[in-house]
Amino acid sequence: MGFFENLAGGFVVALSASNLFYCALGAILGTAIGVLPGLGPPATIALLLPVTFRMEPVSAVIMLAGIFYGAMYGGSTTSILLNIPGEAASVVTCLDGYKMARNGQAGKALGISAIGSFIAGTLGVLGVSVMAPTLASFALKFGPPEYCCLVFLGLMMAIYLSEESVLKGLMMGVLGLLLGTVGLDPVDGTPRFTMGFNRLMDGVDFVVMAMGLFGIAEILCNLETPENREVFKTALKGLLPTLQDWRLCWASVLRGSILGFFIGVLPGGGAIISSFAAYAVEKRLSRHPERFGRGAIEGVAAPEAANNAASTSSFIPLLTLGIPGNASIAMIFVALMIHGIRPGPLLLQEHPNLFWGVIASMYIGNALLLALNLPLINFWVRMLKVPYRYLAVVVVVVCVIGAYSVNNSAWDVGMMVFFGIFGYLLRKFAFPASPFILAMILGPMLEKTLQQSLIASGGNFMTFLNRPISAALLLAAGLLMLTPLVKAIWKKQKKSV
Amino acid sequence: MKRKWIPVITLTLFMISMPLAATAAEEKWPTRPITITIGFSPGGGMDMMGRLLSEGMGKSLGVAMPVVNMVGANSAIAMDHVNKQPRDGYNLFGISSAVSTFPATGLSKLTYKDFGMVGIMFGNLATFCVAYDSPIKNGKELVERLKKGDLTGSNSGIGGMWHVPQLIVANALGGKFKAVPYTGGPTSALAAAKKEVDFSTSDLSEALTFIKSKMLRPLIVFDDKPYVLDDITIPPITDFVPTMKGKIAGGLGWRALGYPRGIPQDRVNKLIAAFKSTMASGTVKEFAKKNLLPLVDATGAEADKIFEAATQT
Repeated sequence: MGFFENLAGGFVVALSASNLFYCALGAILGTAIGVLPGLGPPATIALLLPVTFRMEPVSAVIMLAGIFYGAMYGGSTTSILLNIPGEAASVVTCLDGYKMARNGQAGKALGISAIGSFIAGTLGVLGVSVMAPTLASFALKFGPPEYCCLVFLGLMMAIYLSEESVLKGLMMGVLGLLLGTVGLDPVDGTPRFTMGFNRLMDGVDFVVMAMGLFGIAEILCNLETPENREVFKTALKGLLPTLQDWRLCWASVLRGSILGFFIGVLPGGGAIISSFAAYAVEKRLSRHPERFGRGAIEGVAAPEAANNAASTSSFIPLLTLGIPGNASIAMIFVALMIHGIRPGPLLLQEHPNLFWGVIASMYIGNALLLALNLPLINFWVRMLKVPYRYLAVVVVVVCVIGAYSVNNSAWDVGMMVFFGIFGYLLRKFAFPASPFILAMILGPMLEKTLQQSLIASGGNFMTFLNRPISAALLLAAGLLMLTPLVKAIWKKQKKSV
Repeated sequence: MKRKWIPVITLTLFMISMPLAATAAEEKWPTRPITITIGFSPGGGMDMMGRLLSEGMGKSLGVAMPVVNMVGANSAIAMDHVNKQPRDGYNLFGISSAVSTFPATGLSKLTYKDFGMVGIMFGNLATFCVAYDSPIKNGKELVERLKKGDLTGSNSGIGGMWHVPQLIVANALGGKFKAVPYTGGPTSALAAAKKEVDFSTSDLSEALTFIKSKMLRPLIVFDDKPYVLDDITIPPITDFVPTMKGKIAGGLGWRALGYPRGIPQDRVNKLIAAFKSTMASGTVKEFAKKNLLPLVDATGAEADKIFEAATQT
């Protein structure tokens, strides 16, 4: 059977009344939980899992997948409006999205993120339907050494996330790496820096920390200067991005989609790394990098496109290798297992209807999400008209519930408050929080893959250079590291001439 | 969105019902949701077990039984949390055989003395696999190389369910290997297929898709009898290491539901009855069959003994 016949068969499955309903339900639920910080897609999918026991396997996956990619649409909303990342992958969106909202461009930021998400999501599905089997072999080429170098490259990008001082950015990066070592040693299981707290054995929860560092810190800062409220005067007209904006960022959306798609194929943290990477690339390529961090529309478009494309392509390792790349995909894995379907290299032959039905539903789901999210923009922007003294209380309550729901524990609420105060202090002394977060996510991955590589190679560091992909990644990291230095020398020479 | 409030509502109900629970007549139990805390992430074998039990036992007891994932430290964090809850039977814990390594690894002081068993649901079949085109072609060659001590082997975590059988085999042979931890059974199996390591240890079901698509070759099962998988017969470890005959039981992994000791016995009995009826259901039997999981179905005191034996080996 040809590709188009397969896909047509998939659409027949996905367009049946019940599957269309489940697709819409998933998309709506996904948007809703994406907007709420804390309660992420994995928890929601877990709650709904018992419901899927009685559903057709393909309907179950269509609904759960809808929740997962729908959350990527919703996740940017609170980042832009309130500086609270609703999802791990939308931390970067806070950087410029929130600034745009403060400049009265909330509608524009939300619009570009919805439309960018739609374009990226659709391109992603197109990529999955055409390239899934090929990409599976690409993912197979990624062993621990390749991951290790990719993560290292990601860390180098932290340089581009620091708004003002590179030195401060690096300091925060190192601090993040240190915090990432809290918990059990990944190889021998020794507890490190847990100070006797059992709760710290699994390290510090990243979502909770991000809510504190961004959300709570933001509120503390705003309460300090009451006149700040004036800034939230948002013009309701000009909600959607203009032609001018599109000229600025169509290429960013495209680059973000491609980057997100390929990084998303790799199991483990794909969506998060890709959003950071897309932001770094845009800042690097921009002729006016100083606009980034001050409300650059490309700084919203690229990472949003990247995290959507990545969430779509993260289905590839599940459907073709049986490897769940993140917690949400793991829950979808469970849903299939309960029905006795084991995803893996044989899925495409044994259950073609399931494979193509799910892919077809993603085309439909993305279109539904765009239709759902564009009208919502108006509503969200109006919300900013609520006086900040009321809004702040609501936001704190939502954050507390969100932090509690991550692990059902009050410990996490305490952690969020702690990091809120820490984030407030960081701002007072103008230290950027995003390199800290990036390093803290990537640190444990770096450590684990480094150890795996070295154990497997018998302690031989050449393993990183002998493998073509890891060598190329290291080279890229090296170049990235050197650019600020070269730039500085270049400038000096220019001056002296 | 409504579900966001469930923890809050549960908590409120919990607080209101605390004074009531003390005076309520014992025959009316349970009257509110029973939480099953699982110390592993969603999607793993333990999580799936929890969800199957939640569905079946919840129906039989007439209350909801939400599964809560509290990940970390090979489930020691979750175990500690459950241990701190009131002894009213409303908090259960998913016990995997990895718990029996806690005294050795120092992750927790809690043992079979602190936790009793409702029942053991699934056993598992630790399977040693190599890449399909690996120079190691059979169990005998693998054992020789383990004795020589120059192999790397993947598992799902140090002290975890698949590291234990690796250690037992290596010790029995007087050999060694370098353990490389991955993030779960399927990933551990894939590592051998990708030749990142020389052999992998995971559940047979986790390696199955790679075996069928000729990426992995199963060489040994950690059991005392061979396993027949369609046209492949996988020999047991006892064929190669005769000294292990009769000593397998303590090292075999299992997945079970437990409770912190101190709960009134009639409540434990109700839980055991619900567990038994779930195990007898078609859903569980079919799930076990499709996923190649051996059903154990040991409950109460019988299961306690298996837990105790595992901790002592």
